[in-house]
Amino acid sequence: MASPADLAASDRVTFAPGVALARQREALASLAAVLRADAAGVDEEERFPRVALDQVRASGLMGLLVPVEHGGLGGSFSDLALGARVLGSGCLSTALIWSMHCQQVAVVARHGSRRLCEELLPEVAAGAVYIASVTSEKGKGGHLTSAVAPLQWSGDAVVFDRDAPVVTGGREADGYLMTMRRDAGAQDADVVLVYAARDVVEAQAGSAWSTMGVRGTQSGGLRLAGRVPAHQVIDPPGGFARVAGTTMIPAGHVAWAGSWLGAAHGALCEVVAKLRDPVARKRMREVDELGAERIARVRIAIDTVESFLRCYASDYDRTLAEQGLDSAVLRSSAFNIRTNNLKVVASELAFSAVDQLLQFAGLGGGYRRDDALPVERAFRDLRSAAIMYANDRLLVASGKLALFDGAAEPFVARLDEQLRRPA
Amino acid sequence: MSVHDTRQVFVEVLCDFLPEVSSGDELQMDASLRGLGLNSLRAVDLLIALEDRFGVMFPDEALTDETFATADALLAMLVTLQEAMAHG
Repeated sequence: MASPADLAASDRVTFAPGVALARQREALASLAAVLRADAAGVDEEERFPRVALDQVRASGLMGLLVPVEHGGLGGSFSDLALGARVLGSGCLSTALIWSMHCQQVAVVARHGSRRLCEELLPEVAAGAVYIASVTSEKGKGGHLTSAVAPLQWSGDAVVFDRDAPVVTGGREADGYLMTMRRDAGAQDADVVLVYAARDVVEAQAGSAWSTMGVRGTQSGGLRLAGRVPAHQVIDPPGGFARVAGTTMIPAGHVAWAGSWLGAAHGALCEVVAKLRDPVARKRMREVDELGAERIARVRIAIDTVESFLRCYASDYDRTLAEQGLDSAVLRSSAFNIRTNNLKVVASELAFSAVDQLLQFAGLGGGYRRDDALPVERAFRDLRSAAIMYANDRLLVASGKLALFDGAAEPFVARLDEQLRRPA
Repeated sequence: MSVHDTRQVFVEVLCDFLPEVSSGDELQMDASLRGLGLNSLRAVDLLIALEDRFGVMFPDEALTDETFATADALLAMLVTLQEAMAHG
């Protein structure tokens, strides 16, 4: 298995800034191959994919959503979706770790103070800083837009003591972006974000992470205490609701959906390759009519997620380009419902695809643990998709919002309508 | 396998997928395979049967009208694959 030291400098994968990832597919594929090489080991040993992440750091991809002016790749959500998909086809744990990092980066880049951006984003782009998301908290059950632990303001610094039961990659992160209650007198819904580098934080590991799948994400509990300068608080106009609605949730859903799609797509490609390989297929089930139908349904699931994701990302990028973060479109029920639906659809269909693939491949080709045909691992990994973050909550929200979105149209219809109006 | 044997086995396999042709003797090598009843689903099964029989692998791009224009065209591709395998 390759380690970063083994790869000669000329073999290292790098990405060009300001160029769509769709035009850098070879680099993406090379990176995915590195992830794939260690995916079985990461799963088996329940360890953080440090080797893979080091390669992602070295490639510049940690800075996908860092603007070019701060040394990043200046990517869009379409780039985010593609990057997540290709990485997901190599190792879903690594893809999800990278996805959540990108989500934090997007929040900092768009909503952080100028000073925070100038200090932090170049480091992120250089691969030196992996940011973990700290939003979970005891007693609030995963609800994003509320917080319990308050910030204490002390001169031009803030002090925090934050206990989070689930922090993806928490023990490996270089920095943390945490949701906090504004201060001790504030309501639960009055949330701000604060960034803290690991070296100024006192971290205590909480519950261990031992799960059915995505074992490499090492999302165990973490308690973080420390003090940082006040400019590291992210509290823009419009508050956290605007940060969450326009940036944090869409970025998260796009990147997760891409990652899950990649894992399912990767599993399908491996099975089809085995069915086409003249030697390997003697051990696989024959593709009779029932077999063909099963494969067709796997393709339906994957094609559906791919289309939905690509359409969402493209519509979002367009909305942002045309109207910016304050676009009324990004506050509409139509947008919120579509954002929720993306996550629900991708989580359900990606898992369903691999479940059906496993059914097709049977005991020998799917249920058995096999490094060469990791359908079984993809199944265990993707079962997490509907749970992290709970689909149930999203569905209830979407259903209620839908009552007040009688037109039930794609959110870009709203954008087009606004663009048609005379200025 | 000699070129003659390849051709003979090829014709045997092919005829299994041509409902209009009952034996190899009847097969016209330059006739349209579609005209002889080869549709796209049978074409997939035919390629897989040829792969199993000859131990070659047709690339995804082989599934085109040109490949299946005539028996001669398909046989030519099969022979090319065999040669590539022998030298590979």
